[in-house]
Order: sequence, then C-alpha cells, then structure tokens
Amino acid sequence: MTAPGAMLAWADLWLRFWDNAFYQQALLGGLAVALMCSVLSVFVVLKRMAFIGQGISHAAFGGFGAAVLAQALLPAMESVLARDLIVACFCVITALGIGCLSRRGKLSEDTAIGIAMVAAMALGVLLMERAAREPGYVPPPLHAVLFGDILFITQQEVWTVWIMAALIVAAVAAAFKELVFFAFDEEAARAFGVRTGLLYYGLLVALGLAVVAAMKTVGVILAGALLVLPGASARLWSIRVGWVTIISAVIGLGGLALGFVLSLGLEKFSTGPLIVLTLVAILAFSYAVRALRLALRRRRAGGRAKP
Amino acid sequence: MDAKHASDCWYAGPDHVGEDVLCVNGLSFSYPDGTEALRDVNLHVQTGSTLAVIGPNGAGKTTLLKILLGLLKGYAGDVKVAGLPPAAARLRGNVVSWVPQRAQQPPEFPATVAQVVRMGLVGKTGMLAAPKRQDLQYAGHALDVLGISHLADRPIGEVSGGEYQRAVIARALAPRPRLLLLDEPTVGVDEAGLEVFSALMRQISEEFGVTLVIVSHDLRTVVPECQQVACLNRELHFHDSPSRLTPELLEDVFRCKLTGWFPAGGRHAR
Repeated sequence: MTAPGAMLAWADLWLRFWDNAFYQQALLGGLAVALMCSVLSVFVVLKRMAFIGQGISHAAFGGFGAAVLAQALLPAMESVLARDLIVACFCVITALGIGCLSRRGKLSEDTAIGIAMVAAMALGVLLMERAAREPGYVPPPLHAVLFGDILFITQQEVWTVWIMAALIVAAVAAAFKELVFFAFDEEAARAFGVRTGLLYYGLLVALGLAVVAAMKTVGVILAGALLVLPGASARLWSIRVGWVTIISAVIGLGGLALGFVLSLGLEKFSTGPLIVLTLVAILAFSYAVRALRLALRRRRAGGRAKP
Repeated sequence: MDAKHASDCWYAGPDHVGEDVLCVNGLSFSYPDGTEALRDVNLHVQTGSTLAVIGPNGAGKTTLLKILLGLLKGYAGDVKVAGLPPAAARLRGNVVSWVPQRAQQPPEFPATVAQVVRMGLVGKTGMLAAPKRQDLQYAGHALDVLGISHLADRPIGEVSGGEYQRAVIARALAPRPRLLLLDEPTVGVDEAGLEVFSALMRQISEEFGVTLVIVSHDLRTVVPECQQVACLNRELHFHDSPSRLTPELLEDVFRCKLTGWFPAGGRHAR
C-alpha cells in the first residue's frame, strides 16, 4: 500500500469511529474493563493467582448458563442487567468457594480450582441446552459468551463497568501497601498486623467482579488473559511495585485501545482475540526490551572491568 | 539522614527497663486433632534482655512463636506481650515483630531492599494512611545499623541470602517493636557467619533496646549475648542463665547423645 493509501485508510477508520456511537461506547466500556483488570493483574501475577483467574472466568460460563435459563423461564429476567447480576453472583460465590476450599479444607488450591472450573463449565453447557429447548426462546450465540461481544455493550453497561472500575481502583489504592506485603510474603504480613484473610477474600471478590466485566470484552475463555498479561508485562519495566501498577494500567488501556483499532481495521475478525494477541505482543516486546537493557548493562560493566 | 539523632529517639526508654515484656504463665496448647504441643510453660523475659529458646524438632517451638504472635487461639494459660493479649499486640504493629526462618527469597519481586524494610511499618501505620516521616527515618536507620544501606535501591531478588536475612531483620526493627522474635536464625549459617550473627544480636539489643527471643533447634544459637536460655520439649526443662546449662540436661531435652557440645557457658564462654 502506498503512503497516501495508508493515510486514507487511517482517515477512513478515524471518521468511521467518530461517526459511529456504537464504536465509541464499546471503546469506553472496554477501557474501564482494561483498567480494573490490569490493576488487579499486578497482584494476580505477584501472588501467583493466575490459575484462580482462569478458574473464576470459566465459572462465569456456568453463571451465564444459569442466567440464560432464568431468562428463558421467567420473562421478568429479560434485561441484560439481571443477566449480569446472576453471572456476578455466580462468579463471586465460586471465587469465595475456591478460597474456602483451599484455605480451610484439605484440598490444595489448584485442585480446588480445577474442580470448580470443570464443574461450572459442564453445568453451564447443560443449563444452556435446557434453555434452548424452551419454545420460542432464542439463546444468545455461544460465540459471544466465549469470545466477547464488545460492540454490543449498552450505555447502561458502560456506566456499570466504569463504576466497578472506580471501586476496584479505589480499593486497591486504599490497601496498596498491605496488598504489596501480602503478595510479597503472606505469613510475614499476617505477623506484622496485616489482616490477610480480609485481603485474600477481598481480592477474590474483586477478581470475580472483574471477570464478569471482562467477559463482555474478551469473553470467558480469554478473560483470564486480561488478568495476567498487563501485570506480567509491566513487571519487566520496573523494580518498584508502585510503578509496575501504573505501567500495568497503561499497558492494559493501551493494549485494549490498540486491539480495538485493529479490529476496526480488520473488520472480519473478532475484537476479543485481537485484544489478547495485542497484549501478548506487548509482553514479547517488554521481554525483548529487557533483554536488550540487560545485555547493554552487562557490556558496560564488562567494559569498565577491562582497563 | 541524621542517624545519630534517630538512634537517640529509638531507645525503648528507662521507663520500661526491669519490666517483664513477656509474661507466659501456665501455657498449654493442644491441636484440634488432640496432639499436645505445649504443657504448662512459664516464661518471663525482662525488657532489654535476650532469651534463647532451644529444643529439638517437634518440641513446640513454632507453636510457641505462633501463640506469642497471636496467630493461634484456644490455648490455656495466660500470655501477655507488653501487657497486652498477643493478638492485640500483633495488630498494634509496633509491639512485637517477627523474623521468619531464612525463607525462600522471592526471586523477581518488584521491590527494592528499602521498600521491603518499609513493609515492616504497615501494621503500625494502618490502612488508608502513609507512614509518618519519623517512621521512615527509623526504617532508614535500621538499614544503616544492619549495614545494608548501600543496597537500599537494589532489587530484593538480586541480593545474597545473608543480605536478604539482614533486610528481613531490618524490616522487623523498623516499627520499633518492644519484642523481637527470631525463628531459627542460624539455619544454614557457617561458623564465621555465627560470629557475625552474635555481633549483630549484641548490636541490635544495644542500639534498639529491644528484647530478643531467639527460637532454634541449633545449640550454636546460644551465643554469649543470651542472658537466658530456655530448653523446650513440650514442657519447659530449664529457664535460667546459660552458664548453668549442663550436657546431661541437654541430652535429656533433645533425647539423644550430643557429641560435639561443649561444657556449660558455650563455646564463647567469657
């Protein structure tokens, strides 16, 4: 493509974005989701809770099945908000269940997650099949649940996710130094007077809510990606956890916006997977930059040692 | 920062000297499955002194530490840390501090040595608040005393095991606790390291006026700096000055022949 051709294509994209309220709304909602997930992802990565994120997001599929069945049986549950509420309850309860099983029961955390994850997926499929048998009810496409439907986000949902993002960011800011100590060494944090139980279950609830929100943009299969990738990339840029959190938010917001623009340009492809692959590309880039920086530092140190 | 000035305000103060900072009366504890861990333990530790609690594996040392930190409930008997119940003392954040066993160092955690030391202030500062300037100065002073201030801006994952241990001790000292509990501090420490450890304990005790309780299965932990030693094997077998410790008694506590143990007073007998 020639340079003027590329310019025209970009201008076209730009105009298309500003002409279409759907696109603007979708981007606005997606940014809120990216913000809350990327802030939480720092602690998911540092506390090694990535598998819990996966577990909760797969559990959301079970919640979605329950919500679909409720909508099929009860016309009063028609609204999207009711559906989200059911999924949110399901996610938070699963998250707390995983926490309780692994902290109080005899199960190890990964076993508890493995069980909850497959049980919720299986339940979700059966509930959705049952709902499809209801005469006159057309279930939502499975694809939208699994890989996200960001372009269909409503204005009300945009408001909801921004309020959720604000609450989660505020909670993380309020308990930041406690969370850092908790992630660094939970046992020591407890001995130093940090209420670690409160932090652990609070983090699980926040993860449950973030997964529900992430479901809208990237779907349940890829929600875990938003809860891991920004934090994993940001960690490579700084040795100070405060900066890591800020960088993670920037990477999350930037990755979402970039993936979104790509999906506008490549109209035939889904937004969710494009966002996830953009974040993976950012991670690869971060690794490359770090490797380069380390190599340069070693070279400089070597050069100094020689004479 | 003016280290000398900070050190002046640090001293526990004459008002506490001679008081018992730790009072344990008739402490017994059994786990829910019926295993008896501690039976009728009595301990009294004066402010500013140093106590070594030694005993074999499974003697209830860790249980005792957890009770002193208020992490285990359901014990019988009376435990007071600086006059407070242990759980209340822990939540204050500046009464009792803990140096965990030489734990695995988180390899890639994005925090500097100074940040890890400042973590010790978290309980004292409380949620929704930033640490006070004076507390930050104390944290910096702890770095100085432990000889790691030149590492302050290094990532915690890149320092050596010994330096990490010093950072963890500085973290415990940062909130200016009255009582410092050290869990197996000499694990993996060689003979030369032991001299350093001994000097460090003396320095900490002098500089900070803090009471030290060292819990270990390692007899070498009974350094000359310990005014008192207690032998624990479910029950307390001995609680007195180390000079009165006999090999027979130790063999009784550890339930085995102890070769290589040296006569009363320890290797560094003055």
